[in-house]
Formats: sequence, structure tokens, C-alpha cells
Amino acid sequence: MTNLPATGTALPAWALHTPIDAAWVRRYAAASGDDNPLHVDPAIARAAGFSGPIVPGMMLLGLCERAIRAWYPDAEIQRLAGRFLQPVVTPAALTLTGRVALVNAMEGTFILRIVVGAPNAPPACMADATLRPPQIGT
Amino acid sequence: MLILGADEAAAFADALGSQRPGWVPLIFPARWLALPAIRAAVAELADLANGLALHETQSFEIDAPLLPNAAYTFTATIRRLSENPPRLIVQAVVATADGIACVRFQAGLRIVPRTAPP
Repeated sequence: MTNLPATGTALPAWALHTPIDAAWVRRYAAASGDDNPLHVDPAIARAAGFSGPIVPGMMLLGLCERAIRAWYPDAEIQRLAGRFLQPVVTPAALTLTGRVALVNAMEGTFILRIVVGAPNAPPACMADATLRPPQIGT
Repeated sequence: MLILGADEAAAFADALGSQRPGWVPLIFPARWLALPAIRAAVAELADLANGLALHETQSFEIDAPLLPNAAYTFTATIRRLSENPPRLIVQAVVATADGIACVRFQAGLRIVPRTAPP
């Protein structure tokens, strides 16, 4: 037996304690090896048409995983897929919200839809995660 | 063969703002896209001398979580998806030394000009 949430369940908003600033992105770039200048070089980002360096999309997906671990610490993540809809220019104060979009009782899984964005701004990223909660009574 | 270094994983987790001990972020294999051979292939196909890669989509399928200090193979395929606008797809598989796939991922990249049109 699994502990599946109900379709439509909304999770409490998960906000970053500090905005993502240039220093944080540089730290991520060093750890991930992603030195794309769009993320770390203000002059190149501006020349390409952005108002400043943009947060790596992969980093946004990594933050989605952190939010999932906060919402469902023991769930198994089977899939995580995201679309990056708007560039996020640093510094950025982001909030992640989650809602159960679909429950598959036969498979014992559910799909959590996560929206990443700044307050009063269009979503920057939408991600779907397929999760399997731990079984009950085993 | 690649060893998923515990220190590398901890640094990656820290860069995502987490100090959870022993956590290997699901996105950790993205680090292996920076391997010289893969980086060179992407740079050539994307013509990064004249453009910049903008991440549009990303997916991970996880058959088994990656573990610190374990050995893995990393195989990537990169292809041009379209020309106008130029887009690339990077598909990769992380497998154990025995060849069992653990993680498959796909990245969709759009190439934007280094100088935006006026």
C-alpha cells in the first residue's frame, strides 16, 4: 500500500532563503563545470540581449529537487523534467510552488508540477516530477 | 570510467544551497558535460565561437540513484535538431561499471547570437 496524495494537493511555497546572486551562480558554475558566459559574464550576457547574467536552467532544476526533498523527503524521484520559460536575471528571489497534477494508483506514483518564479513575474521554469512515495506497512 | 567523487558531490550540493550529508544531486551528471571531449563536441556543433547556448528543456530519468565514490560510465550523443533557430539535443546515459543504466538525461539547447539584433 502506498501513501499517495490527492490530485490537486498544493504544497506550501518553498522560498530560497537568499536571492540567487552573481556570487552564487559563480559558485554553481565552478561546482558544475558550466562556465557558459551567459551565466557569469555581465558584458557578454548584455550583448546577447539580456539585462544581466542569467541563472543556469540546470541550477533551477537542481533547486526543484531540493524543494521536492523538502516536500516529500522519503519519496523516490523517478523522473524530473523542466522547461525554462523565461530567463532569470541575477539577482533573483525565487519561490517554488508545487501541486499534485496526476495520481497513478496502479503504478503507486504521482506527478508533482513545480513552478519556479519570482513574485509577480511570469514563471521562469515549469517542471514535472514523477515520484513514488514509500510503501506503508512494509 | 568516472568516479563520482564524494567531494565533488558535496561541492555540487553546496552550490545548490544544501548541506545535506551524502546527497548526490540528481543533476550531478551535468558536471560530466564539462569533460573536454564532450565540451569540444558541443562547442563545434553549436558553433560557440559565434553563438551561446541557451538551455530550453531538460529531463532526467532515474532508474537508480547515483552514489558517492562509485564508478560510472558516461555516454553522450549530441546532434543538431534544427537550423533556424539552431537547436541542439544532448542525450546522455550514466551506467554502472556492469553496464546497467542508472540515469538518462536529455538537454535541449537553443543557440543565440553573441550579439543581439538591434
